[in-house]
Amino acid sequence: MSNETIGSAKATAQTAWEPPQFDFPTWLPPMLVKELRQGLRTKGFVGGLIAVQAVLALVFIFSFATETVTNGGKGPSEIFFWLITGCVLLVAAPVRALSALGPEIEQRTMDLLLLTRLDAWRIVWGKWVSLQAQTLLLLATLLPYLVVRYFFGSVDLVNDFAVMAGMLVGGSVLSALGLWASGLPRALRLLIVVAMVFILPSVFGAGFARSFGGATGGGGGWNGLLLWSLGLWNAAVGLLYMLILAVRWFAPPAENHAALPRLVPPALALPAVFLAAAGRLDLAVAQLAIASGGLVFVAAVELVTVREPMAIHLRGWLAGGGWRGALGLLALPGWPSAAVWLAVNLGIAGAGWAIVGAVLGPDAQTARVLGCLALGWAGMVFPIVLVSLIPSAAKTAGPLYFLVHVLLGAVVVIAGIEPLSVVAPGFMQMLDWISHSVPTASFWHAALEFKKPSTLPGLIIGQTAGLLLTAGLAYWVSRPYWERVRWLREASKPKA
Amino acid sequence: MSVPLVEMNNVTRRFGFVQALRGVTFTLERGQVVGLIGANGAGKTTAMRILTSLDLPDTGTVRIDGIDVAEQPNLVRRRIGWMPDHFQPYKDTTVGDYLDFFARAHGFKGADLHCRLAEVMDFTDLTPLISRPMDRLSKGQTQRLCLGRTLLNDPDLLLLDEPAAGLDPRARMEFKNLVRMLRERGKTLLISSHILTELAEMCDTLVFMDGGRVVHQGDKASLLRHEGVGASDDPTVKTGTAKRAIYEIEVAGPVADLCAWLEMRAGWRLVETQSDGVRAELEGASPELVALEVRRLATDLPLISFNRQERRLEEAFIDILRTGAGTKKTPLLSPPPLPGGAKEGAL
Repeated sequence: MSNETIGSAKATAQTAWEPPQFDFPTWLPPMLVKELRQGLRTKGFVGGLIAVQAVLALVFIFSFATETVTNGGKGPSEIFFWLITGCVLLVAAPVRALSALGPEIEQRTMDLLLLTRLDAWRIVWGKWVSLQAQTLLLLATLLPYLVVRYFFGSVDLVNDFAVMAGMLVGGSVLSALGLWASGLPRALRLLIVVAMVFILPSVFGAGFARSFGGATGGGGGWNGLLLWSLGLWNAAVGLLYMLILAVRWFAPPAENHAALPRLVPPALALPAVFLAAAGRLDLAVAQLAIASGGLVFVAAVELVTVREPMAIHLRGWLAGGGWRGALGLLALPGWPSAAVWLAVNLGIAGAGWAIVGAVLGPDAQTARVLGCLALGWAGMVFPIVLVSLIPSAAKTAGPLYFLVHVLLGAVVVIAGIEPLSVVAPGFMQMLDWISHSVPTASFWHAALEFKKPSTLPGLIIGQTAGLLLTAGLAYWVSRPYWERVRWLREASKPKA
Repeated sequence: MSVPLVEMNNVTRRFGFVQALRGVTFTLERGQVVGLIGANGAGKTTAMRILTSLDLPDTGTVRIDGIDVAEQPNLVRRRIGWMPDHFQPYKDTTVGDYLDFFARAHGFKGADLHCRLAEVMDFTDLTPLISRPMDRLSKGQTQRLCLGRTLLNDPDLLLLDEPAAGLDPRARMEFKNLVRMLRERGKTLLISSHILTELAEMCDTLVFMDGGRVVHQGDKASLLRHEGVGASDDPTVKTGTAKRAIYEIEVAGPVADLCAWLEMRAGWRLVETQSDGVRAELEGASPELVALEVRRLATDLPLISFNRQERRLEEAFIDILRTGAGTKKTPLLSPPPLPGGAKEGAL
């Protein structure tokens, strides 16, 4: 062992190791440098690069030999080019992202990173940027083939680039989804791999590609710009949300990441206000539908994320009391706070609907929509209340929550099968009763209008009872949580 | 008066129904090498994670160099180096790349970066291994790499969790040498280990934890001399053990006779049976009592030798746990538990 002094970094040390003349990595974030160094050496990247080049080279050589210039760009070269571009942009990076965080969280190597100047956000951001950089590198190797397609005719380069940009945006959101999903249990990850290969690329890729391609090719003008902007806004919000979810897998408790995800549904709904003001009600309704989907997804994730409030979360807003304190309660980690946040969101949505209803005149649907929103709250919260009653269910809260939803949804579906009433009337009567009064099932029952005229008074009584039962149970089950919040708030107040 | 480097004051932490820490209080002065001892579940790792700011206390305060861990974790992280008990090499990464990445992550750039890397690799003797993939290192080399990474930000406080676990004797010697050199350079080290003999060789102060409490904090030498010198402000900490002494006794006859004799005598407790004698502990071992007991023993059995022994650390630890069992418990200063048991759930 040497006895060199461990002290200032500026001290001179005589070693055999010489620093490089030009240190390019100094210009990049350390996490990106690390991920690129590792990523570019992986067999997945090198093998993928070689395979893509080999396949496209063979296909284009075959096309030169067999295709004619007048076939309008519909030959194998065209098909293979877009197929491989789609795979590179929409499948390869997201599937690689699925193994980006999980192993490091399991092996607890993240703790060491968190003790440097990197925080959880920079770590996840570095991983995502690295994946995108590698995707762009692969994409760059495809560009010569994009140009070679000119030889076969019917190539609209501007539209092609727009479609590629759309696929790139879709792929980047999918990569963020993959980063989040990489922290899920192995079985769920496998399911997501299947979805990423067969379903999600077509949904995300086609959606963004059509939006972006349509903006340049079909729509054009203000309409095109609007579609571009909406697509980018939704992608940005979705991307940030997924990255925050990924961050939450390993962020220390001092970094309270409960607050930001709860701003996602309002952020998605915001453009609808401007669209409605601009008279684009069709796009406003579509945007509200996206925001509603976002609310359901965020609420489900927040409800099953069983985290405890800590003293550090109660400082700041909560300590101030009043309105700041009330807002702080909506941003605490843990499902009881998420249930209150969901109620507030649905309350705002209900108020908005009531105002619109009042402006447009008496509308028979207003009462039904408000009822559905109330039942929707109960439907979302009821399963987590049930799961919370099971001791030590925190680790499996997500799958159990999902299971309760599936079971109660199935009850409504089976109860809607009329011929079964003749075969098993007693059983069907029981399912009918569940559909009327048990939350989650009662929401679907109301939303899908499975009500029968003869049972309408009973239906309303059952739904109201279910709603009150859920609220009461939620309050009762969450009492220790709120007691802990009160205790911590008192304990964290500065002593006189 | 200088501020202690580490101040842990009445820290509690609960995970679901498990109370991991119960009012833990201790301080570490600069330049100390402190051993943190405790069985599995005693709260050592939780305490260390709180010191690193990776976890936070429910109540109580933790200050490193006067900085509150909960309020300014980023400042605290610049002053500490943590070497956890687990290590997983990065795939497709060499020793040089690994240290380079961590140095950059600590904010080093340009000439400073390369100087720092050179110093650390020289200190830990890693320079010859710079191009070697991490997954091809021996256990000893891996530990040196971990220590090198821990030293990159030149921390004042080093937290080493089971640092010598799994090392062969040579690597263990090398590691102890590194600890000695770090101590000479004024670093403060908190070393957690199950292997008490290992701690005895490296540390000058020991903190014993049991059931989420600090049950003893004291100087190692005095502890081994049977003189508890508690230095903790925690009212539950034993500030002294009853005056007991351990003796190695050898007799000419069967050891069983000696054991039977010790059992019959008040004040004696058998510690260990050996091939040619026993190690036994005498309560209230005043010189007069010892002289009396030796005379009686020599009368009853063919006594060969009767020598006072230093207590081993393991014996001191067990003794503290035994005598500390009935000590006054602090009131539980932790928030009410949450249903569900575990700290965090799925998603």
